[in-house]
Amino acid sequence: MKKFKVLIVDDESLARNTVRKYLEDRNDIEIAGECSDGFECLKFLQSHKVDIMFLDIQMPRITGFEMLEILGEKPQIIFTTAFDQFAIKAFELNAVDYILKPFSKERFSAALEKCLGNLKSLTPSENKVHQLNESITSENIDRIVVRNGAKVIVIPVDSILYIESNENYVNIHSEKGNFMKEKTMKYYESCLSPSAFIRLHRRYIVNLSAIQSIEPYTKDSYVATLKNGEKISVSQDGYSRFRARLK
Amino acid sequence: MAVATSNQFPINMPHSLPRLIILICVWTAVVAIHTLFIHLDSGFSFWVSFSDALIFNSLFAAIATGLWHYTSYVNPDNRSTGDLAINHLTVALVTLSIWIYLSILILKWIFGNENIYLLFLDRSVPFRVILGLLFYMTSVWVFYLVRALEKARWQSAREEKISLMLKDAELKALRSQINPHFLFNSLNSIHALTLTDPSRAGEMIINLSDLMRYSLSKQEQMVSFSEEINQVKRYLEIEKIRFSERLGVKIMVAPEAEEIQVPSMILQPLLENAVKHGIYGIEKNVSVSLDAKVTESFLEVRISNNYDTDMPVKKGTGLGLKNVKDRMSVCYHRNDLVEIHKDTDLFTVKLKIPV
Repeated sequence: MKKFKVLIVDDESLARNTVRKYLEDRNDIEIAGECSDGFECLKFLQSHKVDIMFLDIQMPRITGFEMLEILGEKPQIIFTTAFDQFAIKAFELNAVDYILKPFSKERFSAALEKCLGNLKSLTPSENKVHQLNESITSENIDRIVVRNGAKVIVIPVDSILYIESNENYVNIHSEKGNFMKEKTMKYYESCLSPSAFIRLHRRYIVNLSAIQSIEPYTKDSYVATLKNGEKISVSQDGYSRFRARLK
Repeated sequence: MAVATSNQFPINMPHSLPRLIILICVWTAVVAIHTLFIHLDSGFSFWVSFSDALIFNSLFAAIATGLWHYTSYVNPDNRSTGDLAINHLTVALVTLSIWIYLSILILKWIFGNENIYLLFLDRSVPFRVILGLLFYMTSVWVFYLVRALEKARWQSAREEKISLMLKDAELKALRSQINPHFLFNSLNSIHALTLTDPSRAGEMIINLSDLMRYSLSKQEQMVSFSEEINQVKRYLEIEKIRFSERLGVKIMVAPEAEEIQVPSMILQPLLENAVKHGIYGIEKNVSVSLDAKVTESFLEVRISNNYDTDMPVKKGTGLGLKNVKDRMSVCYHRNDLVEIHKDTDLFTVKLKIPV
């Protein structure tokens, strides 16, 4: 009989103990590993493949959500957290279940069965395509986590110069360098503080504090010069938005 | 009726003894001046002069009592200037006519056979009209002034009471409640321990109970510093079970600090911040230290944790700190009692509690 592999990700050892204890008498499950933060988890998943992941949200370094954003192939995910404020976001991220700590063995088993049901019904190819949904929220973010090869980089939003759209992803130009991220412009327009960022063009969201000047370019377009000397185009709409912001 | 809590300024204020004494003094003086004036200027006997003064002025005093009530209904707050002028002109005309007519009637009845005086009485009417107008205007002006002063005093008393109530409400709201995140995390740790180490679970339940009992029962605002320190120790004990070796704690309290009165539950939010900042930073480990010493005028408490400048801290962590700042400024009416120091790797909050 095939054993499903489980990864436990939680920074508190006591919390990991509970999951391990609950899985003790399951002979269809094998605990592939335990990680105490997002970085460890990313590293672990580079060399291991797991079917199910129990994931805490608030952890050191990066949160469970931030880690999922940069994780390529995603296993079945069950969020385990003490707070219900993240539930909506968790389901937007295609979590199979969301269980509140402390949880009973019955609740835990129900979530596990849901995952097992999914795993058994999905064809292997379907299993791989776990497209990350985007949540358009009004909640402002204060950092963006990106992956650069094997390295994970946390970019404070203050250090972002501008974000450039590039078909299915965006390029984040920051003081720490340029990074690619699988998100849409619409997403960043909704979650970057409108008092700090402005959409100057269909293709650009710019940090207001990075703008040095905006000048007319052609009859109905403008060009913005950034503090680092880069020039980016500004549309008519973008210019009006900028004017409105200055008032 | 409690004056300060009613929303309406009471129109008729209770009579006060000092005000009555002032009134009697004023009228006595007026009567005396009036008597002397007639006695010396017109040469009437003291008895006649005094009667004249007494009758005219006591009648006016009676009219003034009526005017006092009248001014509460006709006042600049609810009338236009024109309206006010017409009102007063009419009332002045009517009251002064009655006043002069009645006074002369009574005096004529008393001094029916003093011909010179009767002549003087008739001739003095224009002068009395002018005097009456003067009296009328003075009284009305004084009445409005008294009312305005009373109203101002009543309002400031009311505002003071409201601001006291507000301060009380504010303090209640600011008083740190048990953080639900902390509570659920603790319950989760306890649950985990019941599966693996029931006796430690028991210990933790007792610690958590004591902690909650303290935070729920300390409704009074001020407690001794040693009580606060005990609460902090309980809190850190619980967090140590959760984070085990990831959390290091160092507490140093000068013995003379122990009995100083401090606002209750003022330290715990700061330690919660310190733990959270360190634990969720890049290092994963945190060492929290609390150091309390007494200077000339302050009990100085330093709470610090290591942190890393590289890592943008998640939002919401400033709330506890803001809460402590607000409470300190409400308690001591000063805004300079909470200081924050950020060194390269050490975050310190300094609390200065006036002794």
